Amino acid sequence: MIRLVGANFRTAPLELRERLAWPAAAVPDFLARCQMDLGSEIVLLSTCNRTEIYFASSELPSVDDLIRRIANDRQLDPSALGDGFYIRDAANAVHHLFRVAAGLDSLVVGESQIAGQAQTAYELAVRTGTVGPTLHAAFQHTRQVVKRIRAETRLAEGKVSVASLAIDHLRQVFDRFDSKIVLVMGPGKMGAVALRHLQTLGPGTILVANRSPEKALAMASACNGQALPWERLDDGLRQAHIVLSATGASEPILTCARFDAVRRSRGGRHVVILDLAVPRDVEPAVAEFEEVDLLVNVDDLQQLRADVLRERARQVPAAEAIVAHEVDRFMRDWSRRWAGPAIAALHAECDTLRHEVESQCLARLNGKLDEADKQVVAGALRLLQNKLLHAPISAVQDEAQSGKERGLFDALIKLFRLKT
Amino acid sequence: MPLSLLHGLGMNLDRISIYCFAACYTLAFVLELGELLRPGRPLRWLRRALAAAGLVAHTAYIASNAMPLQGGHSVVMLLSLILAVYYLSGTFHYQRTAWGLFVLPVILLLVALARWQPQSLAPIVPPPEQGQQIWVWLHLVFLLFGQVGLCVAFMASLMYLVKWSQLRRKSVLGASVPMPNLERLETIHRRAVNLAFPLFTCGLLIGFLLMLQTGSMRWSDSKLVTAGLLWIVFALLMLVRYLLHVRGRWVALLTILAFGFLLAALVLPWFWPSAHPTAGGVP
Repeated sequence: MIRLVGANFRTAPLELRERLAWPAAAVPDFLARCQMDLGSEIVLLSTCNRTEIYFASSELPSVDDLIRRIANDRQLDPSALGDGFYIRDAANAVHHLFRVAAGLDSLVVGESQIAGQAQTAYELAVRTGTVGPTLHAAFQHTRQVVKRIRAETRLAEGKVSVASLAIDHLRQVFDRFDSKIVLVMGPGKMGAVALRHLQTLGPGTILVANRSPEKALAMASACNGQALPWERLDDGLRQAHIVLSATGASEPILTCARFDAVRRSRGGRHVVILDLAVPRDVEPAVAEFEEVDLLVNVDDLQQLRADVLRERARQVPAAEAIVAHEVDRFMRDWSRRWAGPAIAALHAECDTLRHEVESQCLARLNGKLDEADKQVVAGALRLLQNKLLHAPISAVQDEAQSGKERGLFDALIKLFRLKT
Repeated sequence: MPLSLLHGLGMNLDRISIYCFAACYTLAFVLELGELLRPGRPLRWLRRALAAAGLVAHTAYIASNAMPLQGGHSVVMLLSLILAVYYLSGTFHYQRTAWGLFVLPVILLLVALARWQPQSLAPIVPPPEQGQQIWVWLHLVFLLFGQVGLCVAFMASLMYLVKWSQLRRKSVLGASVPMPNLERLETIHRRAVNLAFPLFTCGLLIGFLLMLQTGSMRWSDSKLVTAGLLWIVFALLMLVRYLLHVRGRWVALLTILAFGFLLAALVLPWFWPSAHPTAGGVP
């Protein structure tokens, strides 16, 4: 049986989540101690938005005990944790795990980072030796669920950070970046983030222009670029394939007249302009020039972000349906795995008994029955056995599928003295 | 050899008609459309299988019906076959783009044109005793590959214009028709016209010299006029691209115009009689 105890951004305030977050180095020790004390499998998933602990064992510890342990480890008052925690058992715990890994329970729906974090948490528990067959099966199935959702829905498609959306636009225009010249105009905070993303594309040359030569120099050395004096901005505009602008200027820097003056010496080369400044650095009419393949401003990117989130929201029902289907599949597989051998043993035991009774009966009636009568007797006994076993086996299978109790299962083993 | 192999496999090549491979290409196109709604590996492989089946039928058809080269029908059939090979290779190279939405209609258009082309019984390549065989072959091959280049440039231009308009509408990231980026499309276009223009020019020159030698065609012959106009548009395209350094949309539009002239060169002889062997041999 699987039990989950956790707190996330919906149930616990930031202050509590901060205190609940386990430092990576302390996780193996906590896992090992819990396993030793409780004798259960355990995986700890700790991110900035959630802390969740997955236990699996035939006899799970009480919720109070678990919360007390967590509070002790994180040096918190157990009474302060009560409301912030949620508990899920059996199929509900598996359902929660699948939803979390698929990004359905995330602050930004569809984010893909959490799948990697869940995988890392599982791998750490494997290395620590606190994962057994139940959590192995659950976390490995989780990977399949995430893969299926990504293949069959568009839940994780598109970026939601403004800077990465801006960079995605560049990929729609350019095939390679090692021959491209990037002109960065006075990067503000968002510009600096976009520049960091842009650097991952490996542009050929980065020119940094800023009204302050010191700032230009500092930024240029930080990004392996060249500082360009502000007075020579037009030279940069003549060369650039990509213009990234995020100055704090109150008036547009790149006006139509300015671009018109430099475009003649650009040799027909096209340009993409990312204007991340507010107020804008580039006059909107610059987009009308033939050489400008694309002019994107912050509003465009915000709009795109909203579109991506809307599209993701549209994909949620399909993803939830996959999760529900996979939970059902997992629970059925799992119940077959642990109840299967006992049911097979029960069938074998009853078959042996039936054959014994059948032989005795036929021996007493020796000579009175022909072959057809013997078949009828054998068939009747088989039918009786199947009818008698049908209800208890169904009940055990239902119990196994629900993943909650093992009472009937244990009773079956005891009543029939089965060896599994 | 392939012909005898297919015969050996028990295939009756005479029963393969244009409709066989046209149906395969059409279904592949429908699957391309379907993939826009539900992208996935099974559809992609089914589409490739259909294109491959079409290609086999197409080859078998040409082998049994269009060889030796007779009339414009066989030339357009060859042109569409080369483009079908190009499409199939593109489905592996440009897996996640709606490549086929632009290539397959051109192939189908050419197949349809071939279907309605007058089928001349006179062979295009004259018998060896006339001594021009090698030149006619060169004329044919150069023009054929020049036309292939122009078709590829046309498709790249169409994609370029769609992509460009997606970018202008700022709808490119969530675009329902995924396409290669602008730079890649420009590269495809540039390579195609760089290859096609010299081949096309050489092919025309050889044809012009053959015409002077044999005196079989008049200056007002429809084939000659449309081919000449096509060359002028093509030359204008190269001029604009390399001397005036114009790129992007205008080059794409000129390429589409050039393709229009290519179609005119194929269709016009139906209405305006031509003495060219590919036009049906009407004197």
